[in-house]
Amino acid sequence: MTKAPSCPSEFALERLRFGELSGSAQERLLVAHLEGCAECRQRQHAFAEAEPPRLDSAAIWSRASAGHRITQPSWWHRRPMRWYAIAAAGVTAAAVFAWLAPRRVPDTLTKGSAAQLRVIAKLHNGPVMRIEPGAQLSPGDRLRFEVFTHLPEASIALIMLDSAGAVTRLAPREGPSVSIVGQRPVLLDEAVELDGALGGERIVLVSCSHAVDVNEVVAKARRALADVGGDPHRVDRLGTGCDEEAFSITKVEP
Amino acid sequence: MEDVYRRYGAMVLRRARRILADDQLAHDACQDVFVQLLRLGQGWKTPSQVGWLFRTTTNCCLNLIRGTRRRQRFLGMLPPPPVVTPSLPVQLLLRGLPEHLQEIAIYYGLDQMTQQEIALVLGLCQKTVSNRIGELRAWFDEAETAPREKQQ
Repeated sequence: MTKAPSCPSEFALERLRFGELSGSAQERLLVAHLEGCAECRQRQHAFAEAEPPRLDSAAIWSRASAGHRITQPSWWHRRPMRWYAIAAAGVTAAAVFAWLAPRRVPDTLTKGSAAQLRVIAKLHNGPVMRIEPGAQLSPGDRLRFEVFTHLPEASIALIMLDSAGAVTRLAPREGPSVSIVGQRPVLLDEAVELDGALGGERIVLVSCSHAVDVNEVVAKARRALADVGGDPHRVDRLGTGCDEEAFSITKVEP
Repeated sequence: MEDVYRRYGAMVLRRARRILADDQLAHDACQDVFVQLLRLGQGWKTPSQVGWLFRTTTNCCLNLIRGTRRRQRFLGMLPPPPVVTPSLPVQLLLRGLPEHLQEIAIYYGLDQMTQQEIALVLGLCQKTVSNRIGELRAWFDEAETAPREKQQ
């Protein structure tokens, strides 16, 4: 797919899609362009729809640890040799990798979660980064959310519980839960800017195989928050009957 | 690592396919990119992850292309290695082009990136990028006029 000279480059569209331009003037320009350019919308849609290639983690790990020179392909690029080597190294490497793989941070609920939540922060002083549960952020930082589900499709809702006892709908802002396609990361359109109230906050992703009444989820979250004295970090499950994954952050002075 | 692969793998593969026009080699290049990423460990600090992946993919592909040329030049007596033939636009773009201009030719000629974007990907100031593009244009101008002069 080619682009017209006046259209943004693939690089610009990909940076937009992956949230690297969040809050910038360039983001606004690109979004405005996309609204008026069907071809670029189609290009971006095609980028988002593309399946990632199969991950051969054993081969990648074995090559990375073997110190193989990537820039000068030699025997590695003789295909039969390579695949024999991968097959041989793969079993061992996969077993070692599975054993050594970092465990999930305990702050994330895992209880058989069908969906995973990742949070991307644009800090008030500029950098954009993926954050881990337990991260310390400051008022003015902006968050975006990426959801991945192993199911073919899931209906999700995202809410935030804060230390002031408030429960906020993050996504969708109104109406019933939204449906997302599974097997690939989905960057939600919604973003939130952290307000000035300091303390713990808990973002909860609720995912179900059927549509969820988000207002009911919010009501249950309010009850759960009240039950633990208003400390979002002490909230366990909301009792929605769906899969829940939580992500805690703490807001501190910049 | 798996998260990064799942997130960016399709973009890297698409780019490698665009440059190499060979599905198997594009997969090889894609794997090369993530091997390099893994070697960085926790130190993947860059102003633009997309930019780092664009640049590393470009270099992995160019290295595959250059590697084949070098083997063909110096090891002609050995059994022939798999030939890496880049896509037609890349072939046309890189034909006879000095190595130090090839990377910028990809970004400028193939990707049609702005000078600002190229500066971000290469980690250079925009002035340097502008100079290199000037050098690239001068090379193409010269390459275009030289055959005509010969004909006259």
